Amino acid sequence: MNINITEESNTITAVFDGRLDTLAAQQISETIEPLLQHADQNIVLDCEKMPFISSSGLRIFLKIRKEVAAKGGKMYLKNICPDVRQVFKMTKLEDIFEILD
Amino acid sequence: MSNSPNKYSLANKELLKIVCAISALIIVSLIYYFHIRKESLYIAGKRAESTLKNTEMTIHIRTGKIETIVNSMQPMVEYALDDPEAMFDVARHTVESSSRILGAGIAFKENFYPEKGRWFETYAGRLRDCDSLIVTQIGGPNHDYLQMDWFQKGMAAEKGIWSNPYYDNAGSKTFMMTYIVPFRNEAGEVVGVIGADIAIDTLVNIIRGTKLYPNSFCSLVAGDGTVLASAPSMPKGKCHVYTETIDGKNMTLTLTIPDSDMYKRLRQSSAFFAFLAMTGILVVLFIAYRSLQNLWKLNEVRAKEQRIEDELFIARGIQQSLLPSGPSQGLADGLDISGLQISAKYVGGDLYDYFVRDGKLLFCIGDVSGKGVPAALLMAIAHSLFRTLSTHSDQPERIMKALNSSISDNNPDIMFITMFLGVMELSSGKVVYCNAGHNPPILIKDGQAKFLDTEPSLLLGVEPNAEYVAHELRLSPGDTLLLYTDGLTEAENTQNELFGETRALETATAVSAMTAQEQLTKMREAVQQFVNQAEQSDDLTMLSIRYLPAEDTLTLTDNIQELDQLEPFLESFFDRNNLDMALLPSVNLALEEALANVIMYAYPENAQGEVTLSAQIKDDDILMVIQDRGIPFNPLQQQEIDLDVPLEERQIGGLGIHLIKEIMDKVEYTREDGKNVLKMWKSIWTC
Repeated sequence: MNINITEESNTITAVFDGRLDTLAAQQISETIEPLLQHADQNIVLDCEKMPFISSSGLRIFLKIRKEVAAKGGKMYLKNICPDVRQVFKMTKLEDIFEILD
Repeated sequence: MSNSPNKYSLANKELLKIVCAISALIIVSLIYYFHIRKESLYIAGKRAESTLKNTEMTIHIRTGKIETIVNSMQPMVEYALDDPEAMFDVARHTVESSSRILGAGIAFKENFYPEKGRWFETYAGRLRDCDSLIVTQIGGPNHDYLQMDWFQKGMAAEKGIWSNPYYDNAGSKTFMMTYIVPFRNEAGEVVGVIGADIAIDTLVNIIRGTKLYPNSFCSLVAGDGTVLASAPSMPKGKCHVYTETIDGKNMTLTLTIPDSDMYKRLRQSSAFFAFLAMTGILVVLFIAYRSLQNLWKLNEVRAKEQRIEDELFIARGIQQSLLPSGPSQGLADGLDISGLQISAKYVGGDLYDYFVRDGKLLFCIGDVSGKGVPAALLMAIAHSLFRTLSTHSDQPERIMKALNSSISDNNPDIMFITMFLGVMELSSGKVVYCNAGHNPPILIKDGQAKFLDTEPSLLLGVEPNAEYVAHELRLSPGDTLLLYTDGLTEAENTQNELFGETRALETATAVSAMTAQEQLTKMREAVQQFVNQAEQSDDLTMLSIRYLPAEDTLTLTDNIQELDQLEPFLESFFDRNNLDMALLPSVNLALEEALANVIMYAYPENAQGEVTLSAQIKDDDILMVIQDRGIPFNPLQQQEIDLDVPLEERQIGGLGIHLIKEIMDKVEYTREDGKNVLKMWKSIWTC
């Protein structure tokens, strides 16, 4: 799992590339530090290249969201593939995250 | 075909016994015969001895009288010694005293009476007619008794003696013996002798009267070897001779017994016995000959039977070789199959066969009507047709139709076959089958046996244009399809009870968990135990097909990194089982959650443990089982997260379990043998 973070006019875009499974979730805890530091800005998590997410992955998303909420930023998800979207539905997180279609 | 070298051995043995028995009889008879013969000889010897003694006694008595007469004359002679003329009277008196005395003489020594000359012997003798006597003086130059043996011996004797037998030239012209008594003068000198003659014939008559055996005879032999009395003619052949010396008379008595006489009675009784024995032996031999003839005939029949049996044995070998052989468990993945056939006779009318082609198992079991060779031949034809037809088609109804048409076309004896024929897809357990009047197979599912509910079609061989309908059945892993012929359900015990369907089902239920081969062994044992001593009446054939798709198993150590093996494992499993790929992501997610749960929580920090995942298709579900030896932990008992609670208030854990429950149709946790076992079912049909 690679995360490609770019910053452009007050918006930080993180492209999740690969499966966000249990192992990946452990590995990226440091990689997402920059996102947590800039939680006062707009953060877009681009899921186009992420075919799979596990509960650990969901927790990463929830952690970022918590930080953003605390620091007054905004967080969006976009390009979620159907399989992953299904997971969001099952966990009722679909309504909690702001998803850009 | 050569006859056995021992073909006649039984007959030869009997013959040998008879010959031995007869030989023994003959040997015993001979021993007995010689024993009796020896006894006869001994007894004859005793009898001869006693006869001779008796004869000797008779001779003594007879001669004793003569001796007495002559002895009594001695004092008279001595008294009248002065008167020579008185000596004539004495001689006469002596002869007249006994008719047996032929003649008597009183002979004096040389010149005893000077007036009478040198010789003086008065003699009285009987004439030939025996009625009158002559009395005369016979001494003289012509009868010089002084030189004669009897006179000299008599003069030298102390008392009376008998002369040797001699031939009397002068008087009676016959063999004679003379008793001689010396007499003395007053001075005590011997001066003459008194003699009395008797004819030897007197003794010979005694001897002639002695008859021990019809042809035995006595003889009297004088001391000088002269035979005084003998048999008129010598008997032929071997003789036994017994002798007895007569005291005081220088004679020997002999008793001669011809061998033929001695053993005559023995020979007669032996001949009679031999006749009886020979008759007996002939009867025995005749009977033996008749029995041996029967035995020989029997042997010929046996040899013929043996030949037929040999051929049937070869036929049995050929028939057995038609059946599938070799290890059936390695035939194909997911299949455990075993067949068994026990023919009631050398060759049977049952058949079964199976083989795997293109991932499918083609199998059949059949029972030809009738038994023995005709059934076996039709069985071989049906078997060969099945093999040929099933290489071109895997549709049971088409194979069955073609089989039926071939068999019906040329079936003058209207023999028929019942057959169950099926094709099983090894990947899915789907079985398409046709049943041509065969017994419904037993289906063992979840440890429970029941008959497959199926509508049978027409028997093979009856109607050339019959149509056959295919039915479908799906075997789950662990299920068994047990095919059999009526030799199972109709096995009969000595009380004529049938093994029956109920027992068949009970036994099948009891063996449900065993391998196919064990199942058949146990089934056969159950039948044999039931049948017990009764003769197997029908061929018993069984074919057990167990569907056992290999479980797909993934074993991981408790390391999160190993979870990346999960997705390839599932992709391969879905692919092999033709499952809908749309199901893959969610199943993958649920299993990842479950496995991650075990890896992170089941084992303590430093301990290394394993976790296994197995997956299989069970009925219409994918059954997934996760097992580990970690601390007892039931993930399902974790508190369900309340998704409706605002996110901020929710606990961060519990999401994974929630996902598992959400995705799977059924989840079950058990603790078995120190293992955490988590079973999950997911329908293969996409919602």
